[in-house]
Amino acid sequence: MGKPKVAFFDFTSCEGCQLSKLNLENDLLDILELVDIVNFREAISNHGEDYEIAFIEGSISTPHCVERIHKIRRQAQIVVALGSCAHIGGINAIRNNMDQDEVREAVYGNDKYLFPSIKAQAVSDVVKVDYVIPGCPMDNQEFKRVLSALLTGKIPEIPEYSVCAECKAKENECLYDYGVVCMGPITRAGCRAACPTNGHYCYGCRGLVPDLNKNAAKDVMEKYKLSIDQIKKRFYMFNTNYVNMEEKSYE
Amino acid sequence: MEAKNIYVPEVADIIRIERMTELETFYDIKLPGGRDLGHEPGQFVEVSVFGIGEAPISVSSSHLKKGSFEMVVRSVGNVTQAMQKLKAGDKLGIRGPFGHGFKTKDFEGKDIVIIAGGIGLVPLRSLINTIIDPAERKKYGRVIILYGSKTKEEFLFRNELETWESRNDIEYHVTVDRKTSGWNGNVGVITTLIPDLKLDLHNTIAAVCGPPIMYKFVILSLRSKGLKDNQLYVSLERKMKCGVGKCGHCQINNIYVCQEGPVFNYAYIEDLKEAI
Amino acid sequence: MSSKAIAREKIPDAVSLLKAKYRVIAPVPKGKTFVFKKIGNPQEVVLDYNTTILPLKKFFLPPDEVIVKYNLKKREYQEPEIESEPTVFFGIHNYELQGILRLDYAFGTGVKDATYLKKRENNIFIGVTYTPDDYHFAESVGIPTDLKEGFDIFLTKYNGHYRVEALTDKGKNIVSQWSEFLEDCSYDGDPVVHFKNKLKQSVAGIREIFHGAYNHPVWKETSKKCYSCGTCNLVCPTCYCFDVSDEVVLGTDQGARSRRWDSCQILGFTEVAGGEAFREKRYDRVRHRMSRKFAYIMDDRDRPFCVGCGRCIRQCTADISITDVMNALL
Repeated sequence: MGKPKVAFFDFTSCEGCQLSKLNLENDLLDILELVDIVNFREAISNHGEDYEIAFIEGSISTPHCVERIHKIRRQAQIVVALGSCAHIGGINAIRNNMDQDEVREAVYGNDKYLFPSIKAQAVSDVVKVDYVIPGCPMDNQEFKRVLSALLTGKIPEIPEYSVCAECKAKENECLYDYGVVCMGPITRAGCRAACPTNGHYCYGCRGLVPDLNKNAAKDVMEKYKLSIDQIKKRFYMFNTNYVNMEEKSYE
Repeated sequence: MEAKNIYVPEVADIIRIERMTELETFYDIKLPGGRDLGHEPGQFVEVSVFGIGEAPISVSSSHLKKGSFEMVVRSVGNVTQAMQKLKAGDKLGIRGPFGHGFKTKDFEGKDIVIIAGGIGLVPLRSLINTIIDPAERKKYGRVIILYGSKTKEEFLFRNELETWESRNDIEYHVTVDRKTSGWNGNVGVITTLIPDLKLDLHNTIAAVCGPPIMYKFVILSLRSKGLKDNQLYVSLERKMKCGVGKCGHCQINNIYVCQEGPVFNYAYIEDLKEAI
Repeated sequence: MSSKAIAREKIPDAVSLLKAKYRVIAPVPKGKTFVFKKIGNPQEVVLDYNTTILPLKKFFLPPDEVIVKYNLKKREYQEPEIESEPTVFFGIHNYELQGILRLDYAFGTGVKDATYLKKRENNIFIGVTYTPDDYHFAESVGIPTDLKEGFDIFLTKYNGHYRVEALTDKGKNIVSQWSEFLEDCSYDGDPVVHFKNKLKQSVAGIREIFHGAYNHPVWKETSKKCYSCGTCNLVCPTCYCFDVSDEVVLGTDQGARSRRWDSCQILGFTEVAGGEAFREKRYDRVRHRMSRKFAYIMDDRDRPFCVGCGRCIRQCTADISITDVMNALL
């Protein structure tokens, strides 16, 4: 059996995840021994159309994106969403709560009619996604873990627990003890608590925990002196598509 | 006694593998040297697939079967999906058997009603094959098997179902939730088979295994028939990760299913709010 | 027998001497709080501290630990090596050691777990008194500050000094090596300690409280505040549930199965392969944690699996207090 053919595609994103992958310096050669990379704009120039595993970076945010992602889905046996934009819509989705016409005008001015756009969506909102590697940017260790799982025939699993679990395991001081509001308690882990470990609060880039208690989170943030507007911004930064802060939820 | 690592599996061989339905696969497993697993009907083992992980799986054969043991696995999780891709001659890791099964000694001289819903038949088959074994059969009273399946396409152990039906020392009743072409038998949930049973209430035990939703209705039905709680045995499914009463995942209130179960006398767990 | 004492400023010398023969684990400052750490510089050791972020369990049941190794090609499983270096745990509060004794019970009874028990060999515990803060409630769970069970040496603080009591032969041996740092002790008795945080009722009979409490409103009320981050479990000295997962190093045949601290507060904790979860509601999970501490598991002396360290209260960002919840039931 030959090496699996792997392709990387970028949609609406900063392409930072692909760059992050290039930073796997020590492992890159190993990875190339295990798979054939047939399409990777950041790294190689020949664009193959024959692939089994497609890694998708970026959100689906134009009619053209929709067309392209369907085409990829038809070809690939396995589709993996890579990074926040592909996984949850990410930063791009902030504009989803705004008037889309105003957004286009602000960005493109008079040329707005030349650039049709739709709401920024996760890849899984448009086609079936088999696996995800969350994060902004994606975590290189997790990328390796997922790739290793795919090559051994295992379903790659991502944590369901919160960033707090990883932060506590490192015995970090809690940022809340310094009055800093952090999204860690309600954000899906897997980043090894990278931001809090380096003294910055968690932005929620890996998506919210599957069993979110939004009201409890909001109450805690208010107690730590965030205004309702600030709380909304924390939630909407990465998770616009997954939480509606305008309505109260009841458990 | 020097404690040893309780998490290291023993490497065993798959000697036969057979697809039973779209989701379920049958495995015949040989431990090193053909050593017997030494289980009781209803117990489970932890099965490892190299590179994938470990999952709790019921033993489906009777302890009377020598040289190897059998399992039937529904491929729904990481380990079980990987198991489905294995072939005869491949290796698995085995730990166990764990917990407590059916104490068949206590069933001697009694009428036994076995109620199996879907893959609930898998652990119960270890009990059935123990009590209907030609050398053992006379130890027990009537053997009544009630089997319910979604459709006839999902029937497990088809050859054996036919044998049970044809043997005159077994009363076998089957129903499907949904009729598909070629089915002329009962249609309806498994509880519909219970009212017509004529039971000797003082000398009957019932063994029940099926999907979580089934227990409540079957138990209600058996109780209204007149059976007492201590005449009912249930086998419960939980997430038994370690198998040795440590990891906590299978805990029902204060009870570790992997230690005290998975087979329980219903009177023992009746007051546990999280059990049924 | 005349008792001995050590002056506070001689503590680093005493630690230095221990370091020559043992790995020494002791509390050191970390920002505004404290952690247990292997001691490099004896000056780092603090004996005046409220509590550490994580309990001592991290040394015996690490957050992430390989329990089985294997080779994909050879199809072999192997036992990982477990190191049990002779270690002195220095400056330990008594509830902390009680936590370890509960874990000893959990891993040492029923099926014995060598992966844990091997690390409990060659341990020496040197205790120290403490002043309870707003969160400690150890006295309410049967652990008054002068309980010295399990310690080899116990230090009682007074007037810039610590009274040194050797309680075992191992302890006496160490104290004899400390002789040059010791002086006669002028203090006998035990300090009077006041706990601000308490249960309304002492721990005897607390298990019975749970009998009629399954549908008590406190579970739902508490669950409204809880976002199931799992911190309470992770920082608890007696929480030992774990998850198990396998990983193969990319591009190699080397596989490892690890156990990782888990939390019963997470929905997926009870979820079986078919997708059914057995404590689906958040209040089911809140109740499970508290019940496990005070009713579901008891050691052979009927002592609960809560040692009153107060970590789960101190570190809960949602201000959920196990003592408030218990007091609502009592």
